[in-house]
Amino acid sequence: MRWLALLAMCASCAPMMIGGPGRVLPVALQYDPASFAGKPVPHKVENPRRVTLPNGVEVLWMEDHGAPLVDVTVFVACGRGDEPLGVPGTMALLLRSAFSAGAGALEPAAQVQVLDRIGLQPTLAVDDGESWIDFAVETRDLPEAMALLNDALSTPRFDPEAVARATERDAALIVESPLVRHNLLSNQVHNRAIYERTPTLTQLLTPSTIQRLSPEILRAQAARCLGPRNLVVAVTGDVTEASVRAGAAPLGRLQGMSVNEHVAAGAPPTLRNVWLVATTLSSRVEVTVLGQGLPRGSKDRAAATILLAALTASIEEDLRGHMGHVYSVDGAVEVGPGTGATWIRFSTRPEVSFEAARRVLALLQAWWNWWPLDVDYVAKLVLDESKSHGRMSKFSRTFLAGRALMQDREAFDASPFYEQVAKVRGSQLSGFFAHALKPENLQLVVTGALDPSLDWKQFGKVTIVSEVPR
Amino acid sequence: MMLGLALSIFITQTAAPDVEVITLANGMRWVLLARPEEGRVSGIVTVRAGGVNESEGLTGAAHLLEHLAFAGTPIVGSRRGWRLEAPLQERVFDLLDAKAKLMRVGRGGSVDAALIETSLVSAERDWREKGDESAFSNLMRVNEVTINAWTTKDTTKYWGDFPSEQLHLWLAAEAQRFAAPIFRNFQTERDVVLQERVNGQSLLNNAYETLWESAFYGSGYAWDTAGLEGDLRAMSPRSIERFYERLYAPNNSVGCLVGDFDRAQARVWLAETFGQIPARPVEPPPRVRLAAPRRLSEKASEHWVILGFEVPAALDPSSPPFVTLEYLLDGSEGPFKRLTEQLGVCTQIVIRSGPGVQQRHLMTIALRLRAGISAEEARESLFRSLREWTPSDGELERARASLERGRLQGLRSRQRLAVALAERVLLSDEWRAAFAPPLSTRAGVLSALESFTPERAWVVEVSP
Repeated sequence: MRWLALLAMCASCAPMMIGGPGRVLPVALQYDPASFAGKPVPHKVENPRRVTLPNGVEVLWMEDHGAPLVDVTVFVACGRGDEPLGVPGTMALLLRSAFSAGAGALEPAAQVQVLDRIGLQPTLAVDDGESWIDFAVETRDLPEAMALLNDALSTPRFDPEAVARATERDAALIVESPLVRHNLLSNQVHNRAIYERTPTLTQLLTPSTIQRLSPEILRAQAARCLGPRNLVVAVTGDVTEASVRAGAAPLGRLQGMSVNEHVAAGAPPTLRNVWLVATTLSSRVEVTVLGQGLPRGSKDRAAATILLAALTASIEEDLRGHMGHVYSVDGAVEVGPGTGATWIRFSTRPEVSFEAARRVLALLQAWWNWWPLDVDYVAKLVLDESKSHGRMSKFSRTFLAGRALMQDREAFDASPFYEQVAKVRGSQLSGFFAHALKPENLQLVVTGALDPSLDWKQFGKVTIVSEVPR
Repeated sequence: MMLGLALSIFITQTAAPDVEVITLANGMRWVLLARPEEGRVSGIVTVRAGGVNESEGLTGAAHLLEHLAFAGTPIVGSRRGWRLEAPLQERVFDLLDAKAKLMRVGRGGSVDAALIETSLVSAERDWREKGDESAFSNLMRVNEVTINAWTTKDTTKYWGDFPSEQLHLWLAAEAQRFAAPIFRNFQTERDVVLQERVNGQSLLNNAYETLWESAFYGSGYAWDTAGLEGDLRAMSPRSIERFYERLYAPNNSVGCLVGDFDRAQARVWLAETFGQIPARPVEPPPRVRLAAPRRLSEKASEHWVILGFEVPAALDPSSPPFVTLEYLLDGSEGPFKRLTEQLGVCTQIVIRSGPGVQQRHLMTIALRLRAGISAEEARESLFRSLREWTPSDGELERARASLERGRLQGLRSRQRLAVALAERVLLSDEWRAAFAPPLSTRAGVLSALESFTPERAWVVEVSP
């Protein structure tokens, strides 16, 4: 039928001239592409499977046989907020040293050599409430990789010379690079904005704090954080249930019963503050609006995800439509410590940054005054976000489920996240908005090539943060 | 009709059970790889048109064209039919052309330019009433088709990822915009591209550009794909049309599908869509020229030394040892470990290659210097480290394992595999290498290392 319609439509057609001589739409292509859209078909989307080892290590996995490769992520229930006072950077150095400063029977050089041989080069990340390491190995190397992982977690050696080399290099990087110092300061100020009453979450990494990091501190932190009940392992790739169980078996021998008790986060700020971190090293300005996020075990995870998608899209449309010179808009809702944090960030040219900040705060105030999401729009948002999460790669699905399990523990919702998103109601969106982004509690952090002499105080109490002397 | 179209395809290669390369009657090749992907397909159309095809004054054209290609076709986005819209396009293009001419002769701020600007406001408003620049993206979005595109020095790639049932839609829409993209949003997209240009500027990127400009002087690798700001501001839609006409032909492009789809059905739809675009003569890619090594300097906020060395094209058979070498130099255990840990010369080392992949280009080694270390000292230490280093078996094994892991990650991702297969076929007529681990021996790596000498190095010294 389509072809009959097409033939009828084009019976008297000639090639359509578009512009220059090479720009012609042939008769056979003079159709409406929309007429070729297929009827949506529900496709089965897998969910990660889960096993709890007898010692408490949680393992999630999903099979993907597209290549003989396995991705492994190990989440650790300790983040920046769990670092000792006076020694920020402990978690990053702990995880790095576990894979480079010797473990089990291996001296540092031998450990690196063995890891290199199977291409196990872990990358690591430290967030406020948790940390993680991930790596990928060929399927055939999975058993050896998991045994090495077990050594790194259970018997890290923290060789003093290797640790000293790492700290010296990190300190030198901070000393030599103004950009690194600015980025560290900016990150710290973002945390101060939301966690000012939580000392461990507002520490600044400096050359002198790095020099305090020692094998003893790392050992104490390892004892606190690397026990089996503090670990969640996410595995994606060319595996089967049998190979996952066999691969995870060494981790089942990890010992310890303790669960890390996070340091209680102080109450979030209740007045609006404006933090300014100026630098001449950047040609643009980054503005971040912060509010409360999600406490651990919250049932609002899916609603928060949808709300942020809607808000960032709305802000981007508003800024691009009215101002231009806006480079990027993004945002996220973070889980814990305490209330967690919601952040929305955009970067602009300096000359429009102040006005852009004003517009965004006004837009959030308008949402507060008059909730703009009607039933139909919420239904569309829910559908779009649910589909979007259903399209995620298997690695992303396993990673996000692993992180959620780490954060929510007993309250973890094991159903597929796209199904959780599909069940969100409009009242949950407005409820989370009221919790997270109450206008008078919003915090504003402005970094980059900003002009501190502008009237930033109209947005709240201004704190100008400058780099402390080295 | 469908039978006739189907017969106009002939299979040229079927060397592996899963991969098939077909050539449409117009010369366009498609690589088909059907495999389970939870009901999804990635598709890509790669055009042999990139920054290398630009000329001075036209830098950034390939990238700008890629952005403009999202503004629809004579059918998608035309509210009242193309016949009514076409004169409005001509009016806007004439005005933009006139404005661009004034800018090129330094009269962008003249009264004439202001008058043109006034006329443009109303002409663009009239066009917007009859043309919807978002229609193409909206059509894809409502049907759950994710689309994107990116431009390099050598190619431009249009990618889509979609549920299997939208394969026909994606092919139909992509073929139509390939044949007849309408540049409805010229000024807006030029602003976006200009912003991207500003976004991409950093201390290191600026230094790389200085290096490329000197090393590839007068040829297509001499500037960044983003283009030069002045050229972009003075770009006219007519010049983009001419760029399109020179290069966007089916016989200058390769497509690829990877995922859950029926191969026989795909062949029919390909013939009905992309197979209908007429072939036409296209220019061969211009050869880049490398000037003699030079030493340059630049002001910025930090101390860096950047050295560039000529390396072969990425798909050249002689390339694998250089790829391995790049990996080894980038690692924390390679020859440069001494520079950071023992000699205290620098705090950071960045290795990269560019700006293109199809022709010989530069591998760069950038050192962030410690205070008190001169550029000359750093350079001497670097070459001494290279001379005194022989990769150990362990280092070579690590490189092999890591490069292999990256290759396998590329095979697992339907998007990355589609990109790799299309690029391989377009640039080297050979897709099998995408599935084979690149081989490089110790002797090959050592031989590659011999070309890294002070006499063959381009140098940029960056200092406050």
